[in-house]
Amino acid sequence: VPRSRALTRAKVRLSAPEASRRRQPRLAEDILPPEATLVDLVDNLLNKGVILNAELILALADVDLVYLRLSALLAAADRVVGARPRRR
Amino acid sequence: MAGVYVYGIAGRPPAAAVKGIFGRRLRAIEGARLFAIVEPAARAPKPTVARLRAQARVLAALVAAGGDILPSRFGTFVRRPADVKAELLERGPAFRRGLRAVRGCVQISARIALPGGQARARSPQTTGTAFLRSRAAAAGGEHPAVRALDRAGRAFAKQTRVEADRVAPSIVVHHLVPRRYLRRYLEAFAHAAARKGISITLSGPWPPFAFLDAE
Repeated sequence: VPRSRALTRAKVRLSAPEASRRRQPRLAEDILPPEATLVDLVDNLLNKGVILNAELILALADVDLVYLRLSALLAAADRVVGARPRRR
Repeated sequence: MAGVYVYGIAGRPPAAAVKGIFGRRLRAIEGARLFAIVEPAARAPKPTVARLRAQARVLAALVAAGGDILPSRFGTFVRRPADVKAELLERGPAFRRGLRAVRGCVQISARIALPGGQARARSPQTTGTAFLRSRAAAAGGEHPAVRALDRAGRAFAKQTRVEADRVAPSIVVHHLVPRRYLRRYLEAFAHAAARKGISITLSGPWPPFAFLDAE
């Protein structure tokens, strides 16, 4: 990745917290546009987090299946996008 | 509607009047001087992207109100609130340790495109074994890109976690960053990535999902 492109990308990513430095830092949508954080949203909320023991088995099993399906979908999308020739 | 949907465990009740993903005001269930942040609910939500985003917004509101929280996994619905209280009493010491470890901090996640993965796509000579070794090294923080970025972030981050992404050919570096250092951390991290020519995608601040060890 050319240095100029990485720098531009980094600046874009950081523009939101720079603009909002006077207030409390908030969650993902404040830094990145929603579509850019989907993979992190899926990974954090479906794959991580405190699990309580009480009566959760059915709900979590459902979530596990969805996580697997979404992971497969994101992986497929990543490969399709990655296989496309880059335009200069 | 006797059940509750659990958003996380906190050291104090929610300071602001925050509404949950079902549109009801959040409340707290207390036990062992800890508070489970919950919303009355009849069932677990369907796991859709819209619901995931809604839950992230609720957590954002809780974190923005200044509270530390050990976030629950999506889908944490409990039929009887008394079971939540029992869980707080039983696992109180572990939850308190977890809250101490993340106090005043948020999680920033950096996805780093793996050179090994890119090389594999371009070069048919690269073996699967070499690729997997590259992934394993990356997961252990041995990848040069990870080392460079970790050095940049370590001055401000309290903890670091490195994961090989199971989905895309990339590594994810999670840093637990004190809020007061957040802007300086982001500047240092972006500067290091640009200087090294590393392609990264930052996201956050998140609640400390990647730093929930014993909880």
